[in-house]
Amino acid sequence: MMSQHPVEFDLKAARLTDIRMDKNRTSTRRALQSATEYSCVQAKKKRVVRVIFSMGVTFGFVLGIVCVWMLQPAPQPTVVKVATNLGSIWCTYSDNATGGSSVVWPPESTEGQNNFVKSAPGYGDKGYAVRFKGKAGERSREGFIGVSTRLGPPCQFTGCNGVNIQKFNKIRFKMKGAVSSGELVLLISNDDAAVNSETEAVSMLASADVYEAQITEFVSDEWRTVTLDLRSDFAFVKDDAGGAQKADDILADAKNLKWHVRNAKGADVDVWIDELEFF
Amino acid sequence: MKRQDDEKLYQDALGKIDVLKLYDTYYDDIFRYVLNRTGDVEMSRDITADVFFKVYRHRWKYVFTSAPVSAWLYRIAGNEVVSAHRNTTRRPLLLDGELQHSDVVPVALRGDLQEEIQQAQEQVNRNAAFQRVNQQLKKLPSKYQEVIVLRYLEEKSIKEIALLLGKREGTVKSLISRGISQLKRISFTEKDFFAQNGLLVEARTNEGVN
Repeated sequence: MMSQHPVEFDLKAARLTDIRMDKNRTSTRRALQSATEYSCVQAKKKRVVRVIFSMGVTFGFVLGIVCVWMLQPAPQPTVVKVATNLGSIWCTYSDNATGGSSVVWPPESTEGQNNFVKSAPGYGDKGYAVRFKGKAGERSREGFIGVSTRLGPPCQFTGCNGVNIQKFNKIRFKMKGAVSSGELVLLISNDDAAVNSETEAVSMLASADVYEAQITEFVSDEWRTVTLDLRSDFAFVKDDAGGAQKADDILADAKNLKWHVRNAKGADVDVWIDELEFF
Repeated sequence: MKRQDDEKLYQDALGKIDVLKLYDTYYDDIFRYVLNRTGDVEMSRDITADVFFKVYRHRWKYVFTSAPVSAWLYRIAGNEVVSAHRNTTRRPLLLDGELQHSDVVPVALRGDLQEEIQQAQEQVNRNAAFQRVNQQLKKLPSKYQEVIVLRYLEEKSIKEIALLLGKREGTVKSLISRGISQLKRISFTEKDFFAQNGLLVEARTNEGVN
């Protein structure tokens, strides 16, 4: 039988089996427990701080976006000169066609011919301008005369398309002249003509919308710049037959611009218009 | 394992380590293991506290695996012992630092705790066999110390040691074998030294086993 090596004997004898550390054990446990509880309180505090912080960050982020959005420079409006980019035929009109006695120059078109003539000098003593002059009829209180231009491309009498001018905010033009009585309004309309297939009679569509701005006050002897907001300076004229009553509806399909003198019994009218543009 | 090492027993409501449950179950084991490695009661108390403090600090990182939870404790304890041996000055108790922020009141006066430590240390010192083994073990590399302590002083089986240390049983056996060989060699050298100096080393055979 092999004898046990002293080291192995020592290893067996060295076992520490009865060392008790009850007080230290309890003390350390209490400390650990306290640290755990303290940690729970701290964790709750941290959670609250974290929630408040994340809410603050979110609020700041949203506020930042709003600020950036608000501080963004407004996009520069596109300026479109009607004379070069829009419009086709200019023409004058009056109540003469409906039995009135008004007289307008340049002469009205009676059979579809273009009687319009340019007048000189235009604004700044340069080029040409649109001028219409005449005398409102005496017979009717509602005598009117005016000048009109189509915004769409040249077209036949019916079925002409309008143009969408929703992207513009304002209209601007130079104007001078005199209107002795009555009122001068600028009309944007989507009226159109309709042809009766049997009689071939031409009539205006009853549902035409008329959107107008008062500009009488801008008429003077000297050229003045007239700037009108397409949405706030214009108002709908009540149309008994109904129709669009939203600015953007009519701006989406604008067919005509009319400088219209009305309620002008016997009034003398002489109006010059130049440098018409949308922006 | 002497006790059931069911991981569910040591999980809190969030499924993480429940430090207090672990403490109640394993304090004595870890303390004795550290004491067997160091031979210093006060240091063992501090290191044991540090082990559980570290568990508490890192409980969110622990992932339950097939290895017993106690393996994690023994591994931390082993590292702490090595770290304590490297540092000649005893480190302050980490837990005390944590408690500076809390209003914990010790259940026993510090005098009582010191008295208990002194009594335990005297008890350790009286065990001459332990003193010899402890001195010889400290001359071995750490990897031999831990297997020898677990095998002979903690009386754990090869399988248990393999689980605790995350080693294969064959490796553990090999480590124990080499460790004992080295221990015998150290012992033999010491015996020669004592013999040359006329000291009776055979006296150890008369010492009783505790």
